[in-house]
Amino acid sequence: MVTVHCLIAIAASLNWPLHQLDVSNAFLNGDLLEEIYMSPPSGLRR
Amino acid sequence: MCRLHKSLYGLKQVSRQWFSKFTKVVLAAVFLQSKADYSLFIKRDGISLTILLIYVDDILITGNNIESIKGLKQFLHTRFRIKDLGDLKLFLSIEIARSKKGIYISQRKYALEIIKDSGYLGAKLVEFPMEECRLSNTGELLKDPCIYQRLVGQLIYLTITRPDITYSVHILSRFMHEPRQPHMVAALRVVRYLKSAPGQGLLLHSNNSLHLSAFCDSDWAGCPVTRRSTTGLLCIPWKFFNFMEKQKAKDSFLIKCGS
Repeated sequence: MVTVHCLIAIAASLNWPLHQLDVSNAFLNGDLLEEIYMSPPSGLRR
Repeated sequence: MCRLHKSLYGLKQVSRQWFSKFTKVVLAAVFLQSKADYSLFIKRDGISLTILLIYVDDILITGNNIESIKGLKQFLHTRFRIKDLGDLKLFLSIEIARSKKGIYISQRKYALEIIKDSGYLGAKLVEFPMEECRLSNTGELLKDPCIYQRLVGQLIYLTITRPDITYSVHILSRFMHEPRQPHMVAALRVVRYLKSAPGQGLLLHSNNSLHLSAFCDSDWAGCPVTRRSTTGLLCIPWKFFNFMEKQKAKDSFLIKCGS
C-alpha cells in the first residue's frame, strides 16, 4: 500500500498521467509447471 | 482423472502461476522489477520513465512519456485479455479524483460501509475519535470477539487515507486477541467520528517538491496497562507538514526511561 501511496503522490507532484488496466480472468493465464490431476465434475461430457 | 495443463480458479497454485507469467512478460519488455516491492516494475529509456504497479489483476501505469505508456498498453493487449479503464478512479476501494490542485484520495464508500455495518447511520456525531487512552485489560469479555476484530480490521484498512484515526486504531488493535466491552465502546466511538466526515481524505498537492521528511515523538510510560513508552514515527514525501503519507506507531520496549 505504501508503494501505491507513493506512486500516486509522485504522479500528483510531477503531473504524470495515471492509467488503470484490469486483466480479465487473470487466473486462467497461468501455466502449470507441476502435474496436477483432478476428477472432472459430474455432468461434464467430452 | 484428467491432467491439468492450465491453471484454474480454485487451485492453490493459481496466484503464484499468474504472477510468474505476468512477471516474465513484463521483464521481456525490458522492465526492471523493484527489489523493494516485487509488484513494481520500472522501465528507463533515456529520459523516458514508465512505471507499472500490479495488484493481483489490477494494473496501474504512470510515467513521464505518454507514448511509452501507450506502447506498454498495446504490448500488454497482445499478451493478455485486458480492459483499459482509462484514468485512475478507483483502486482497491480508494477513490481517486484529480484536479489542478493535485490528486485527492479518499475511501468515502468504504467509510460509509463501516458506519452502515455497525448500524450507526443515525448515530450522534463526535468531534474526536478517542478520549485519552484509558483502555486496559478489564471489563466484560465480548461474547463474540469476531465482530470487534472485523471492525478494527476495517478501520485499519481505512487508515490508508485517514491518518487522523491512525493513533486510535493502533490502540484498538492492541486488544484484538481479547476484546472487552470498553474496547468495543471505544471502537464504535471511532465509527461515530467517521460519520462526521466520511469523505475526508488526503490531497496530494501538485506543487510540492519531493523531499522526504520524517517526524517522531514519544510518550513516556503512557500505556496504562504495561507502563511502557509509546513512540510514533511519520514519514512524508513532502517538505511541509500538510499531509501524512505513512504513519507508524509502535510500543517501545522501554519500561524505564532515562531522562
